[in-house]
This record gives sequence, structure tokens and C-alpha cells, in this order.
Amino acid sequence: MRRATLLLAALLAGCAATQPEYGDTPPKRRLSEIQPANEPGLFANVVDVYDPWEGYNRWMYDVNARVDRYVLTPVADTYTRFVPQFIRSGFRNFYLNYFEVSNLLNAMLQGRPVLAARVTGRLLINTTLGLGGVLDPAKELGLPRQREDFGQTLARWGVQPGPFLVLPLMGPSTLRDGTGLGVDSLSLTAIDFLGAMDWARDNLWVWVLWGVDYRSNIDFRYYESGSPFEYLLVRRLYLDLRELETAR
Amino acid sequence: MPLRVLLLLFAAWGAGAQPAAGDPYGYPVADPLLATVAGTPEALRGDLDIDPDYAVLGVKVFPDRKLRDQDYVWYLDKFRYLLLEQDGPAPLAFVIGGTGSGYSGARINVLNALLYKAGFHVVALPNPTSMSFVVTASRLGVPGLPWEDGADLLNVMKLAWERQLSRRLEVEGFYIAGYSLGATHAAWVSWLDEQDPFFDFRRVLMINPAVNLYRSVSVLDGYMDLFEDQAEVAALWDGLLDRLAMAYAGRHGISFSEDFLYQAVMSQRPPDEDLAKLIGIVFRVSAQSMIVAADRVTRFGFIIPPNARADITDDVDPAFLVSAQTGFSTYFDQMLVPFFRKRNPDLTRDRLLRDAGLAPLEEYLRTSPKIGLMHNADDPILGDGEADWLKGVFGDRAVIWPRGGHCGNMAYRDNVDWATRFITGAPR
Repeated sequence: MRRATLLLAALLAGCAATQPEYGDTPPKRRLSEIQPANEPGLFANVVDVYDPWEGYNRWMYDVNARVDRYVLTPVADTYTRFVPQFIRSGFRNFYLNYFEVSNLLNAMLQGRPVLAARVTGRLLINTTLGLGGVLDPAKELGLPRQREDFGQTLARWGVQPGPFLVLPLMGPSTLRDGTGLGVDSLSLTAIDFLGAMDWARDNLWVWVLWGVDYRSNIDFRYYESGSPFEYLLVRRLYLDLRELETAR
Repeated sequence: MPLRVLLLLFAAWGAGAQPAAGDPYGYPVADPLLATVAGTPEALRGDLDIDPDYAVLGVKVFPDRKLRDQDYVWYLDKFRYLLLEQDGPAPLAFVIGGTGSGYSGARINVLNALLYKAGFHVVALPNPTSMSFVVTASRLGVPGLPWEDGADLLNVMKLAWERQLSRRLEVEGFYIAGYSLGATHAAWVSWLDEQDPFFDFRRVLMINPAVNLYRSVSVLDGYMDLFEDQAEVAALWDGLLDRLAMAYAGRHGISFSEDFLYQAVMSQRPPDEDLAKLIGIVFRVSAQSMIVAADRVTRFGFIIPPNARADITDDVDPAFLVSAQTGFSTYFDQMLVPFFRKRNPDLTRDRLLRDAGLAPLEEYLRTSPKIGLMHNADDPILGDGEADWLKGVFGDRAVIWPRGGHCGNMAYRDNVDWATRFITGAPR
């Protein structure tokens, strides 16, 4: 595992952004001419981001966009079109309820007993009254869902986000949050609440359904922003969003 | 939120500039800039709920066009537009979005819904100033002259009709509508079509058109001069991004259109930014995509070296930073005017500035009973005297509301009623 991590790091280190071929004719409008050298550039906060793996990240972003356009979005759209709303929300609640285990673990690791108690309450109520999680009566009772992942736990322990990282399929993340995602799925497997993870190992369709349901609940579509700089803008927005979530 | 609370909120924002007693127009936002950003409160909107059959269709306008950035913008392989389809035969309305707009978005959706509700098949088109239009449908690749942009629009409309729409729809006559710059385009498309009738539009609906493009963009660009220094711009932009991240990222689709950024602003009510500065910055961001697209399609070498070639893994920060500092007016002077003067040296800058708008169509607009106009007296994109000019030209086919800013009142119920009545009126 450790060796694999080192190897990955070495590979990524060779993945800084490449430079475009500029040719020998300069453009008519140049940065040095429109901006005083000692002033921060307009909108510079969009590009001033720690992204040493930009080359790899941009490539993976584009791969994700293609997979999304040709596979995931059509499947998710078909699902939304043909499966009635109440069945879809049932699946969604079921999965989210199961992942409360992870929220609970992280609330405890963050040393937040009140939050942990609320999550426990949700898990108990929805698993019983909510028919195994298909319904969400806890919300009506004043216990709305609050996601806590291991990335947020690490943040609470003072771990910085580290480099920006685009994950396969999952999209924008950071080294910290990507690691957190891995830890969360490992801990879910280890805890194996109600033996469901063990059962799901032989029932792959559960994961496929989860993936379809997950995608269908995100409105985001790649390359619909209308900007040729979508990668830069999405990167910045993702990092902002995580900062807000971890500061909560 | 209960209506009363909403109204109170709006009243508080507009304090000091309340409509006079006895003013029958109920749109509540008195400050034109706030109206532009805030739009119409939910409770005061016309009935725009629809549940249509829809499809996104694509046509290849230039099958042989090989872009140098083919791999970079692989997803712009076709000109895409939105169809909302009625069951059975119906009239067809083309809708043209405003500056930088795609075929869907907060504002264009108002028009789409209004027309669908009124019984039309709706074909929504992106504005010629959007990146996707420039790359996939613009013959010259330099948007900004409404007769050229109008010709591009008419061309894709014909292609879409011949290759796709005529095969799947039963249509009872053609109509066209647009808002903002899209309204200016609608007038030009109708005029161009009449030179060699194809669609022969029965009615043309124009909502908040730019009378003179250059004057309008100068107003919006000019808001950038209100900033003290670049640090202030950075701070405001930073706040806007935070707002956007909080309100949308992760859950919703994102875009960097005006509509979308305004929605982010309004996620905090009331907004605490200086609205003029904010509109300036939003306009700057939405012009950026168009300018870069135009530069690449033409290889003009304006911001990106003409022979440059970018891979998907390349660092394009310099192009981002320069284009972010290039307003529409700069584009007009340093790219558009030189580009068209090179093609026709007889053209002068002043002539292009004067003609880029509705002025050359004055006679047509005055004498063509099928064209209707809805505008606002306080629209910030109108120059001095332009509202009066419109009143004089359109006569009783125009309604100029006392307030609403730029398109802020499009969804207000009186506006929806007027627009519906006009577009469904008997052919004139």
C-alpha cells in the first residue's frame, strides 16, 4: 500500500501542466502591457490555486466529462424519466441512511457529541420507523441530514487540503478529501452495519443502482458552463465550497 | 416565503424610490439595477409552470470546419438547440437568448415557458455571442454586428427546420421572440427573412432590446471604472464566487452566464454589494468566453497567438488572465472593427458603431405591424432619448413599463400577459 502511494506520488509529480505551443507570432494583447507588474491581476484568485498535478487533473477532468456525456448522463436521465419519483427517493433515502454510519463515525472522530447523538437518532429512527431507511421521518422530527466525511474530520484535525486532485468518476477533490473518501469506504466495509456490506459484495447491482441514483441527483453537466475556462472556474468553486463546508 | 414578507423585503430595498401612489403597475422593485439582478419575486410571477416533452437537438452547420482546437472543444461538435414540443399541430416560435445566453437559463426559460404555455412549439436558440454559437454556427466567427449575427441565426434556423423540425412537427406558421440582445437579433432575422421569404414570421416579439449595441455595452463596461483599484475587484469577485459555491456547486449545474451569477447574488437577500460594480463584473465574465471563442475561430491573434495550439493538459492561465481584462468595448475597437475593415476598407468605425443596433431598421420597424415591443423606461442599457425613439417608432405596438431595469420584470404577471396577448394576436 505504502509503496503504491509513493509510486502514485512519483507519477503525479510528472504531471504538471504542459505548455501550449505558442508559435512565433505574439498576440496583439499581452498581459505585461495591460497590467502593472506589481499589482495582482484581475481575477487572479481563479488561477492562484495549489495545483501541481494540473496536467493529470485536466486530463482526468476531460475523461470524466466524456464518460459522463456518453454513459452516465444518458443512464441517469433514463432512470429519472422512467422510474417514478417516490421509488427513486426511496432508493436515495435508503443509501443515504446506510451512509449515516460514516457520518456518525466522523462526528465522533471530530469530537462533536451533540452531532453524533443527532446522527445516531437519525439512524435509529429511519432504520426502524423509516422502514430500513426508505423513508426519512427523522427529518420531519427536526433531525435533518448533515454529511460529515473523513476529509472534514482531517480538516478539523488541522490537515490542510493539499493539492487539488481530480478523481476518476468522482471528479474534483483534493489529496486530503480524496484520502478521506477512501478511508470512509474502508471504514464502512470494516464496520459492516447489519451485515449489508458483506451481502452487497455478491450483489453488484446494488452498487450500480447506487451509482445511477447518485448521478441522477446531481444537476451538474460537464462543459455546459459556456466558458472555455471551465476547469479553472470549477476548480476554484470546488475549493471554495469545501472551505465553507469544513469551516461549518 | 409568505407574500407579505417578500413584499416587505422588496419595499425595504427600494426605499426612497417608491412608485407614486396611483401608479397601476405592480412590479415592486424601484431601483433599476436591483431589478436587473433580482428579477421578479416568485409570488408575483405569471403562471409559467410547464411540463413539456423536450429534446436537445443538434445540427452540423459546417461539416468541413476543422478547428485548430478540435480536441480542446470536442464537445462543440454540433450546433445544439432546445425543442419543447406540443402534442399535435401548433404554431412554432423561435426564441433567441440574450447576450452570452445558451438555449436554457433563468431568463430564456421565462420566454420558453410563456410561449409553450401559449400553445407554441418552442425552439430555443443560444445567442450568437455565446461560445457554442461562435464555434458551431458563426460563418465569420466575429459576433457583434447584428446583420451578420442575424444571417447566422437565420441560416441555422433554416437548417434545423429542413433537417429536423419539419420532419417531426406539424407547424401552423412561424413566430420569433427574443430578449435583450436577442430581441435586437429577432428584428434583424425577421428583416433578413423578408428579403427572401422563407419563414415569413407572423409576429415578432422584442423584449428589452439594445437600441445601439455599442452604447449599451459601454454602459455595462463603464461600471468597471467605478472600482477604486484591482484589489477591490478581486474582493468583490471573491465574494461572488463564495456565494456561487455555497448556493450551487456540487448540487446544481453551473454556468457563468449573467443569469446564473445574478441568482448567486440573490442567494443572500438583500445583497450588500454595490450593484453597479457587480453588474460590471458579471458582464466582464460573460464577455470573456465570446472573445476567446472569436479569437480562436478566426485565429485573429487578439489574445492567443494565432498559431498557438493547446492540448487538454495545457496551462492556459495567461489566456484566462488577459481575456478577463478585456471588455466588450475593447473587443469592439481592437478586434471587431479591424476584422471587418480588413474585409471591406470602406467601412468606418463610426459607421459600424452607428449601425450596430436598430437604427438601420427604423423604417421597417415603423411600418411593420407584426412587430411588437416591450421595454422599460428605466432600463440601464438605454441611452438618452432611446426610450422616446422606440415609442415614436413602434407607436401603439410598444409598451414601455415605468420600471423593471434590464429584463428584471420579464416574468412579472402583467408582462407575461402582455407578451402572450401580443404573440397570440391575429396575424397582421
